[in-house]
Amino acid sequence: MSSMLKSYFEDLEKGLSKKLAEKVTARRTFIHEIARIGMKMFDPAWSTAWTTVFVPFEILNAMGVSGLFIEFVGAMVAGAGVARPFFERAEREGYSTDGCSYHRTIVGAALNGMLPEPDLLIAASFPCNGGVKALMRIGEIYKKDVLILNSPYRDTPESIDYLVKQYENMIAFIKEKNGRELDVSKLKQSIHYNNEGREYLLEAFELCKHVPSPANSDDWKNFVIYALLSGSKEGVAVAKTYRDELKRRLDAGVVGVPGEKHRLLWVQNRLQFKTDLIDVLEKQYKANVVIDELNYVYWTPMDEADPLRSLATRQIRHPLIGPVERRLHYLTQMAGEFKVDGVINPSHWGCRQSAGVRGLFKDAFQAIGIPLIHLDVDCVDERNYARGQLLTRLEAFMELLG
Amino acid sequence: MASIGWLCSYTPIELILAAGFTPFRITGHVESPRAADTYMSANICQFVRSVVDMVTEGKYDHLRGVVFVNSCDAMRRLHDVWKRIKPNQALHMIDLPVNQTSADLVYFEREVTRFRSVLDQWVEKKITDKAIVEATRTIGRARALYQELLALRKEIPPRIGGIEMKSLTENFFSGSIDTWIQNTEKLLATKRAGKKTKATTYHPRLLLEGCPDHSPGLISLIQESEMDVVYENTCSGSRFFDIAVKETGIIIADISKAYFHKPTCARMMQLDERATHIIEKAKEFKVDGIINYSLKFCDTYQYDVPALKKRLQAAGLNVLAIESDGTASSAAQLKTRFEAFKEVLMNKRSDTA
Repeated sequence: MSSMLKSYFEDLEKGLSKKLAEKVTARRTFIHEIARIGMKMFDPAWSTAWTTVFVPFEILNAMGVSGLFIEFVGAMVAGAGVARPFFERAEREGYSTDGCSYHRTIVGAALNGMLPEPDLLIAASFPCNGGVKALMRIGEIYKKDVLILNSPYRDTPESIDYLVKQYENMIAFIKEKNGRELDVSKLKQSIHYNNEGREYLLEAFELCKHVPSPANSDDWKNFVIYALLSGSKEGVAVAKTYRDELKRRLDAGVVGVPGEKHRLLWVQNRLQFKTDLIDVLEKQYKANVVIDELNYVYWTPMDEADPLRSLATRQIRHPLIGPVERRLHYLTQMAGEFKVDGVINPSHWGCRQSAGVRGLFKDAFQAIGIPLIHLDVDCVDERNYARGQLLTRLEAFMELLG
Repeated sequence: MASIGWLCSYTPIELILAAGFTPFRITGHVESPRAADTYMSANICQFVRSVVDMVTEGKYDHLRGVVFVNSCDAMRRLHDVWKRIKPNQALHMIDLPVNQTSADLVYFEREVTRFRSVLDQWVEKKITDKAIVEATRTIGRARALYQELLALRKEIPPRIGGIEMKSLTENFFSGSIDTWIQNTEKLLATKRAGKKTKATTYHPRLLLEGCPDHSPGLISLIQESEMDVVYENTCSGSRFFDIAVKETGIIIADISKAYFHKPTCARMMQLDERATHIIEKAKEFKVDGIINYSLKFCDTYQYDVPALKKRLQAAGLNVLAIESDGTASSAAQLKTRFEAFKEVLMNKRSDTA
């Protein structure tokens, strides 16, 4: 059964290799690397860890472990249009349709034997409870222990110490489960790569602040997956390619969306299944998604001499941890920096951590004079996707933007 | 006495009492949400949304402060929304670890210590260890009394009913603990002095497991279906009282340890331990079936339903998993399911006989 997904990643990698041979683009380079990561699931030379979205992949990489966050697999499966049987399987088992469909997809896929067995399961207690629970259930399917990193709510020196200790336990857990040792020099190298990649990303995003932006709405789609490349030389290469390409475009006067009229900020996740939503925004309304919330580089450079503490600090200061003020601060900051005039919040069905404060998103943007629209949609499960209704709401929103 | 609001059973209410306040549990309402949509999406559980309604309506303005626990996504968001609606009300979040290692206990103890400091600020004086020990003993006495009444539910038929116990619990959550102790001592004496109830017809005995249930509605519905709830493995029922603080002379450490190691709920991810606890209680209270109750949109409980059900069924227990939107509107549908479950249980009983 898992051969279907294997073929998907292999075909994706092959197709992109061919396209890259014809012309190198940042997007192709990025997706090509992601496809290669997907293929590692099926490569016996690699140990694979399934994780939730925000775990320190740098540590995994330095231990020869390929980390894959389950939401990524959910998104890929939905993007490939093959998620339906997994939803149905999970629902038959008693998993509620009200739960997050990123997680339901992967639970269903695991139940269907669609995925190769992971070697390790590692969850972080943020951004949501559902991810941890889904990984726990997957652990039961494969009869594997799940290590949970408890992400402290408060940013204090003691919290950072506590998380560092947990990273040490994670290293011991990986060693115990698959005998792999941490190569400290590799970890330091990984921090170095992270810093290097971060600089390129900052430059690339700086270019996108230009009006009009040299990037279009899909250039950075799902770039949150970059976390999997974070701290690798491939990650640096991807970030550099983005920087170089956007600079070239800007220098040549190439714009992402010709006639860019509106600049949008996208909150949290994109729609993962195939839709023409972005096409409509770009072509009909000349609207460009110039920044996605989850792409924002919020962290400061890390200290190569103290990698665990640096990684713990980055995790604890993530905008999705702690009180929502922190997240609102970053959201409004990026709205200002990227000169956006509208905000789209897809309000993913099943995402409590975000849906629970959606009114506060609206208030925060209203306070700086930027309208926001909530789209009630499931970003992964297209069975309830009401295209017409959604476009009608968008139309009204775009009229409001003028 | 002024009150401090709390929401999660991992809140060490001993400290609230020691600070000179009545611990007041925030329970929301059981109607359809009214104002919550302004702040949050409709896919947040009715409990949290109903609390938002009541905050908006000023129903909790009397509280000197409110303490939250980082127990789930919706609870964190409730804290954020509450802060937005009532920016001047004192609020505090206790961070509860997901894991249960010794390092996590140290972390939790630090959080309890932090909470103590917050209370010091709220009352503008230092809460003494002596006051905390006294409060711990008072609450310990209340919990012990509850356990004595709970033991009467082991009788067949139970000498004290589910609704009466529910009312007792709700009184504990909303009023003076000293008064509660006095009333409960009287109730216990009355119950003990009374004759054992004679059964005319057998009512299947149930253990209610799952999400917090803050209204008597669910237990009433079950009772109307001629079944008796004899143990609630919920943080709003019997399990809430299943904590014993062992004093060793370091009271904050003792309280932290007791709360940290109390029987777990779905938040704590220890499904095997939770299932074992339910199975033990099911045997102890001689139950015929388990009702696994989850509130719509509660990820914490709903993700466990299939796996928990399997574990309980593997132990030979009859399980009915129900979901409710938390309002009275789901009553008719639930009642139909309860009645069907009763039939199953009665058939099994007669087969066994």
